[in-house]
Amino acid sequence: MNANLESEILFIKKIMNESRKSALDNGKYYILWGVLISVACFANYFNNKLSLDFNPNYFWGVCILTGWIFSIIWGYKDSKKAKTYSAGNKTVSALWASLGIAMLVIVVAGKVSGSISYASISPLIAAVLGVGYFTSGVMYSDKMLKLMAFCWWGASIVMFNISGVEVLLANGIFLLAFQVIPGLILFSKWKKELTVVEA
Amino acid sequence: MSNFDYQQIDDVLHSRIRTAIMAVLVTVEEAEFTFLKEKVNATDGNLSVHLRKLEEAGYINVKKSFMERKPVSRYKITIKGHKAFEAYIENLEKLLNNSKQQKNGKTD
Repeated sequence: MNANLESEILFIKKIMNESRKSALDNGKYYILWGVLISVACFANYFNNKLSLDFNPNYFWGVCILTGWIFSIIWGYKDSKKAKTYSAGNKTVSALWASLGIAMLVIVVAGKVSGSISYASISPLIAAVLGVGYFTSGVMYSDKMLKLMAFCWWGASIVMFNISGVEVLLANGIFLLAFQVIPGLILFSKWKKELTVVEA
Repeated sequence: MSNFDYQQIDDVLHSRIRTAIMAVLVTVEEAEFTFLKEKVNATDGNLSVHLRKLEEAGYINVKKSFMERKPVSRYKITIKGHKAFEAYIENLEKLLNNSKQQKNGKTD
């Protein structure tokens, strides 16, 4: 009898864990934004270092606009394809959309008004990213995402101490390390999970 | 002597497939028929029968709509369903503990 009851409880827990896993983050937004913004950072950095005559606002404009267009299209398609609708997923999507707007405000309004120095934008954005990673990590019970939050807060402190255009180089590297790589790990986990479900 | 009343076990939930359906639905806010089918590993007909039983008990509700001309059924657990599922798990655990205590009593 004990064995039956225990197996019943284990069975319920297994089912609950499996359905939680199927709501995993697929990481594609981390990869998209990580690649686009690091490209903009490197382009801006080399443009400055090599004294090329391009207006860096074009890199930023194109990259940010591309990111938003893809995010909106993917978000719409994902919501159409979704077979489940969890409150957790909705909260994480809303969190990243609102943080994205907050980051845009820091970049655009901060730069236009001149109240935020050029070198302070990247560390401020890094601190905001930390909030997004930490909350997502808690929602998905994902240790890697929580760890990335601390990496971003650390990166923010480091970047506040870098003066000049080198902050862009640092930000580009941090984006590849703390955004693109975790995004790729999440994507491969999600793919694996999908294969298990389809099999 | 055990003080557990077996009548406390919910008949509607005391079926593997229905427990599995409820276990999926407590973790997600809403789930489509196809998602439930994948998760509980049941046939369309079998799943429909069990979903109807849960619906009749007021533990879940269904929202039917059309997406790109295809019918889509989305199932959602109700407050009553949440409470019943929690009580069911609690009762299973109570039963298990009682059974363990009895076993220990016999061996002492």
